[in-house]
Amino acid sequence: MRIQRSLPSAVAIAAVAVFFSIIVEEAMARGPGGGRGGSHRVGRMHHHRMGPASRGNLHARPRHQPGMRRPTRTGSTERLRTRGAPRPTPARPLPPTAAVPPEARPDDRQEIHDQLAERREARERRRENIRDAHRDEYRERRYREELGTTYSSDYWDDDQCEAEVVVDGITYYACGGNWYRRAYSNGEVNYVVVEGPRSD
Amino acid sequence: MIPTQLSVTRVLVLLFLLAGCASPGTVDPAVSKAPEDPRDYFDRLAQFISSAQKFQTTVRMGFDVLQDWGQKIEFGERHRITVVRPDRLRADILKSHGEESVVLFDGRRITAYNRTRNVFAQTEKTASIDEMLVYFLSDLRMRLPLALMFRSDFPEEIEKRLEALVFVEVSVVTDVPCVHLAGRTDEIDFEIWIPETGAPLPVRLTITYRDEAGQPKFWADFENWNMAPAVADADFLFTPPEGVERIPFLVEIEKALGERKSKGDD
Repeated sequence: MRIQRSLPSAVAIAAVAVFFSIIVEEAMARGPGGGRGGSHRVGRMHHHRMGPASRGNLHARPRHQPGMRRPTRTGSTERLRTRGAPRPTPARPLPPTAAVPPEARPDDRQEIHDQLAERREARERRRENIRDAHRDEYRERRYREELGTTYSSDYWDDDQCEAEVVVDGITYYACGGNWYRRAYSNGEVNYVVVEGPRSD
Repeated sequence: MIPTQLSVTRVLVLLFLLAGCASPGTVDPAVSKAPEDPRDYFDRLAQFISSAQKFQTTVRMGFDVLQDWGQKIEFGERHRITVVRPDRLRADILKSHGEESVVLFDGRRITAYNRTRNVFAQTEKTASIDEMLVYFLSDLRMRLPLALMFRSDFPEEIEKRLEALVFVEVSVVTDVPCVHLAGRTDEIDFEIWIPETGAPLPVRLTITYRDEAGQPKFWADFENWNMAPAVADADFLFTPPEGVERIPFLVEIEKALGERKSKGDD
């Protein structure tokens, strides 16, 4: 078997194109001062930490068993934040020609950079406002979750909970009209919807 | 302007790298000649690990996780694995965001302790490491990367799965020259680096989950192999620290909920 060592030329060209677009994007984001901060605002995204590759086993994911619930799902707090709201998406790199016309003079180019940066910032602000509005809405409009629904601790935020109660050595969390307790699965601590603690 | 200067530098660096990639199209057999059947290297490794009575190694690993917005993000972990056959195993785990946990098996109990959150789950299981790992991964639906390598039937298990194994090269960019092999099973592609001489213990392993969305990759760098670690029975026992809370394994809660539901249906 002959093993190819080099990148196909198409891949190399694509890499250069992508790299150029990143450069333009970065330069635009940095703005006239060249420093970070200014208009390049990267919000904290809620990401998944676990996937098929995290198993690190010499076989793929376990065969699906009927009725078997996936060990982790999109977190409750994530759903509280984003259900119905657009998920934050990173800005797409603009092609160099679309971002700054090559014929533009240096002053014009700078102005275009600034305008684009301002627009981006305004767009981010709008997105954040929408997210906040949905979060508030869902905080008020509580919903019951199915017993056994499980969320990864990576999404868990105690601030979203109204109460933390310890009964018989078990900590229960009251959040958004549901009770949760912790359980181990998939190598991490998860939060699972359970019946509330008994008061007797 | 600073960004432009940086950009030019980056372009030059990228072009330099691409130029490097564009050199000879295939491995020169005169440089990297297959010294022997790649299976021999792999079998030797599998036999060596599976027949070791005890060993300890530190594994730095990383894995891609495909995000909802289409980007793959890599997360890392460091595992310190201690195996004493037939029935002692310990994994000290540090995740890249700082969470620390331990998996302990003393031959009678399996404990998963999350030091950061000060909780632990425990279950009785009198078994060998091989049986414990099956139970841990399948029944408890827990996670322990590279678990197959710690089983005594590693050679047989890998033989069952292996569909192809080829020699890539002798890599000289590792600390010691390593035979680089590439293998396939029906589900994954993997590559492994094994020292060309000396103990056949893996230096590096990568796994590509080619049927999964985004073809995420897992990699592991093995360090500090110790085939005679100084360990005591106490190292595999769990002593609950002050204020720790015992929590169930998720499967226990699901089982209880399922039983309650079936009673309700009756």
